[in-house]
Amino acid sequence: MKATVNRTACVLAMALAVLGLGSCGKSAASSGPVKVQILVGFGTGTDDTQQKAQNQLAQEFNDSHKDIQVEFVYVQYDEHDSKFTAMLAGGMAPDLVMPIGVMGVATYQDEWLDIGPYIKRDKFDLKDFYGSSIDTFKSGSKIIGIPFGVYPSVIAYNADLFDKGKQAYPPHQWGDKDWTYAKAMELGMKLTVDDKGKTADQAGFNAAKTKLYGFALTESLPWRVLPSKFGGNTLGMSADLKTAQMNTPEWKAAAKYLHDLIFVNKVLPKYSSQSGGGSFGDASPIGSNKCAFWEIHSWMQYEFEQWNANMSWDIAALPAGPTGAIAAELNTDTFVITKSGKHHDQAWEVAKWFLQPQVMKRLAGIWGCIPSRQTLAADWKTDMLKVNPKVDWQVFIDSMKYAATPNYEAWVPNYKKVWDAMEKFCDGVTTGAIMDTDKGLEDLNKEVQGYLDEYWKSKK
Amino acid sequence: MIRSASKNAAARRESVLAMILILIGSLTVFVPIAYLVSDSLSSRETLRQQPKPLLPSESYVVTIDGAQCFVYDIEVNGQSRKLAVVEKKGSTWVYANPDDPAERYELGACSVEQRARKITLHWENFGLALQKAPFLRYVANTLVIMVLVTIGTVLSTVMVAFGFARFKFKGSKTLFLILLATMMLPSQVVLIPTFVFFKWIGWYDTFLPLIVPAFFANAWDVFLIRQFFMGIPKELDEAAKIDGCDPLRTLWSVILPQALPVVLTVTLFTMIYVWNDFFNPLIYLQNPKLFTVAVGLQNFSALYFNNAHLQAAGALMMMLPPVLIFFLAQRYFIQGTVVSGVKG
Amino acid sequence: MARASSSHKSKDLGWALFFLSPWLLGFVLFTAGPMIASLVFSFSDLNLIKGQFHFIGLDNYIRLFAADPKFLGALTVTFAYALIAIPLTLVVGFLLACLLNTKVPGADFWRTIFYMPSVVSGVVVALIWRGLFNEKFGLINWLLGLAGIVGPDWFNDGRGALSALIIISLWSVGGGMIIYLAGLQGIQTQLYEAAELDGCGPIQKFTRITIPMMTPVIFFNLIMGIISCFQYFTEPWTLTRGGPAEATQFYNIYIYKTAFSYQDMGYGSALAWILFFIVLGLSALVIRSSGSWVHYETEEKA
Repeated sequence: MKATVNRTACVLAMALAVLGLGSCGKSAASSGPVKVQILVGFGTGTDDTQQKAQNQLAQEFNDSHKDIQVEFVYVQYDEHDSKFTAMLAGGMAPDLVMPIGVMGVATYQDEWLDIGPYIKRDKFDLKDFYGSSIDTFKSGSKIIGIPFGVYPSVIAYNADLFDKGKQAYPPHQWGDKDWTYAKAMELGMKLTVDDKGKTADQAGFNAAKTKLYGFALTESLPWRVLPSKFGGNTLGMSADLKTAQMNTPEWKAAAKYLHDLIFVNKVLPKYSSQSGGGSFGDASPIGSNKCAFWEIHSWMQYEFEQWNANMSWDIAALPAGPTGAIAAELNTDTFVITKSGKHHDQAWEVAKWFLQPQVMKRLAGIWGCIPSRQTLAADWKTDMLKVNPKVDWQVFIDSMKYAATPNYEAWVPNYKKVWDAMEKFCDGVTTGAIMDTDKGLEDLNKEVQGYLDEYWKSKK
Repeated sequence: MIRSASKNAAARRESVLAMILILIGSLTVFVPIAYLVSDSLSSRETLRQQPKPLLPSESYVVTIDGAQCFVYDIEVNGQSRKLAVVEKKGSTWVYANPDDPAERYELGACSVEQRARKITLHWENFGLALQKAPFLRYVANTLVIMVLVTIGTVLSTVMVAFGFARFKFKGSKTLFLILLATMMLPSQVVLIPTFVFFKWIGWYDTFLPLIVPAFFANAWDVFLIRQFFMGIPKELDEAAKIDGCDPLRTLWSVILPQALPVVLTVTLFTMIYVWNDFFNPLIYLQNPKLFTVAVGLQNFSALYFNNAHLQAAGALMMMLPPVLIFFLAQRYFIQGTVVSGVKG
Repeated sequence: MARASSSHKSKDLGWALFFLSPWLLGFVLFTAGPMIASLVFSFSDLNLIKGQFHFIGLDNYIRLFAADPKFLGALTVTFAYALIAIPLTLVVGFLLACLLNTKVPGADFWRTIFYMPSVVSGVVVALIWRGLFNEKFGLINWLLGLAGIVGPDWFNDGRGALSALIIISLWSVGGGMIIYLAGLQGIQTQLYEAAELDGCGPIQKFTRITIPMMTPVIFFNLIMGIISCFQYFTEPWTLTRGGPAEATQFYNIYIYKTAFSYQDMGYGSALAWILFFIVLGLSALVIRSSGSWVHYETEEKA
């Protein structure tokens, strides 16, 4: 008995020793320069080539500053939610998060610092930035971020397939009143071809044997994009954000359009953006060489090289909706300062350094975006022309003038629940699980109203 | 005599049947792996094609008059030829014979699918994948964690399993149920409290949260080993007791030799678990110098990037050590019996 | 005599505590705390981003049963998957192990092939299978086509996506196979020899010796199958994110979304604890039944 007690005690003592050993590891509080941590992982920036380039920038910052030292911390996009939540819970929030888009900002809306006072104090000049890109990070009277880069959207088209189908290219000039979504559908039908060479607008077209498709909307179409193009209220709710309005005629027209595109006119195969059942497999619509035109954001530029090798292609303006208005989706990448971070002032200094034109230009190069300072647009175009002289890059720049506000990813109460409900609806339409789109929207409206009520009830 | 011959024939029939089943099964299992191998040898462009070719084949160019021209499979006068496109005049293209550029034809346009293909194996993907991170350091880190975790796991789980298999006292069944219950709560909701605890005792950004808990037994392995211990006749214990062995000695010299297959299985599983574990190092480590191989290999993926070929190459290299270890280790714990059950 | 037995008993208890001490300590140090914490969370409205924490009594649990269709949806998906996947992987893994325990030529090699899928990480599983399940160009539908079957549009279809996940889980059955193989090594060959002398054929030997002797391992794989099926996460998360239209929104995916995407840690914890009790209940049923079918040499019932 005694021996076993001793042995048990031995195990206990060892355990305590191990625990104790660990806990006395870190204690030395450091004086000297303030360490500002930047978390990367809410967007792009985690590939090793990007990491190296970003670390190089940090090095340059550190060499030129004595009182502040910058450190990048990386986490993969797939795990950023759990890592960031764990860091906050553990009381060691990073000081800055970047790059982060509108959706990332909206998801953690309450955690970001209002940088308005800093902008005012330093008289930081925002005139050079695209106005629409600044607007995306305004929340009430607060300003949460200043973007480094923008990813506007355009139509990309495969000129070879247009030639083959003997159709005129879509216009490069924005604001063409004849270039509408109705027209895009028609054009798409003429460019959708079956194995016998019949097109979708002809009698005897065999949809089961489609070889070429006409028109694809943004591949991971976030649902809210479409109603805003059709003159609907982007947010799908009243101005006070208390009443869901997702069953309006404009929303219904948009849903009907998506449904018709796939199931009536067969211009696009059915797909699921939620489960990754992409219409063109591992390839993108244009990259697959089986789709004539497609709405893209400029972040597709990682594929441009491959397109160059396989086809002649170009970009064109987005069509107008039935009201004649054009709403171009916009993605942006900004920094945000965390409220729980301990070095707000220093974080702002770091952010300002990264916003300098020459640094921003390099960041934009690393991330593959268009710098959000308008004065850098010409440089960007020159760089792009070097790689592909045949593409009309100005179309991207002009897209900024038609950027839809509010942004389609803008914050609403119970943000992610509302978002998931909309995506579920959209997935239902694109996979054919929801064939009656009007009823689908009524259900969606009811569900979202529930989330709004839940949110406002908890606010009381 | 005749009976034994017919028995042999039956046994042979059984083995042939077994062999056929195994062949069909392993083919099914291997096809997806073969896809991975093919992906790892492909170029980025090949993987973005639709349909993706089964073998990493690519279109190719030839240089004619100083210009890079793609070669197409095209029919000329009823003959299938490989010709390069030197000029595009709208929907009429000019094709030339790569071997004799003067031989030209004006024909209709082709689609990308009609490009001639050559099988090209991109072995450099493996090198490129390895350049993505300081892998020597990551391998060293992983090995340190792996060795300690394996020692801790095997020691502690064998002890605890023995405790559960051989000692009955008031509440021992309840304790065992609690052991099982610890596995039933989804890890997502204990992640944050666990993380906060480790941060609080100062273990964040060290190997300790990854290593130390292993010394305190985990439910999965304890349960598994206990099942095997329960299958060992208790008479063996009794005999050892009469010989004057205390329980520790009984465990060491009587039970363990009997349960070697399961102990080796647990060792193997633990090593492979540590090798593949991506989530825990990612959550508990921040300093890139402490990263493990599994975390380092995630460097290929980023939003707006497309490195599927390197991801495949990395995944294949990740698979190699566990598969090799398994291949070599299995003979120590799987002897195999003849179909009929008689050792042959 | 009575004193001797009681001292014997207390000595035994001492030894038991000694052997169990690593786990008991680990339980107290690392496991119990976070579990209790999450139980406490489940009675609160904890939101880590807002830094909000109030006790709200049973509200989370009431909401769960009274007003959350997604809870029921996730539960249905999980049960549908578990009902098919658990027996299927159990049986296939077992038969595979028996098959590969024979002395066929190159058995080492074949075992390794079958084991390979279980060392492929989740992200890569997605990389491999998405192409294979493509409706038009995927190998699977091509093979089905050869057999004259029009394959489903797997990941664009609710049932298709769930079936695809079951096929994938069958693919990585090698891990369970190894455990069975380890178990098969423990069966004394004399048992088979004796049975043969009694005139038993291969099928009788299988049902009268192999299966009964393997019941402790089958029991293990069954319990672990239940536990892991109800926490199924990595494959559906990387492959489908719960889609299309939530057709593969497994219970654990819903918990993850609630806790991290919706930042509703309180509600997520309540969901987790309900799952805990479901799995505990099912396991208890299996354990209770085990007395009648699990055969231990030590003649103890689990």
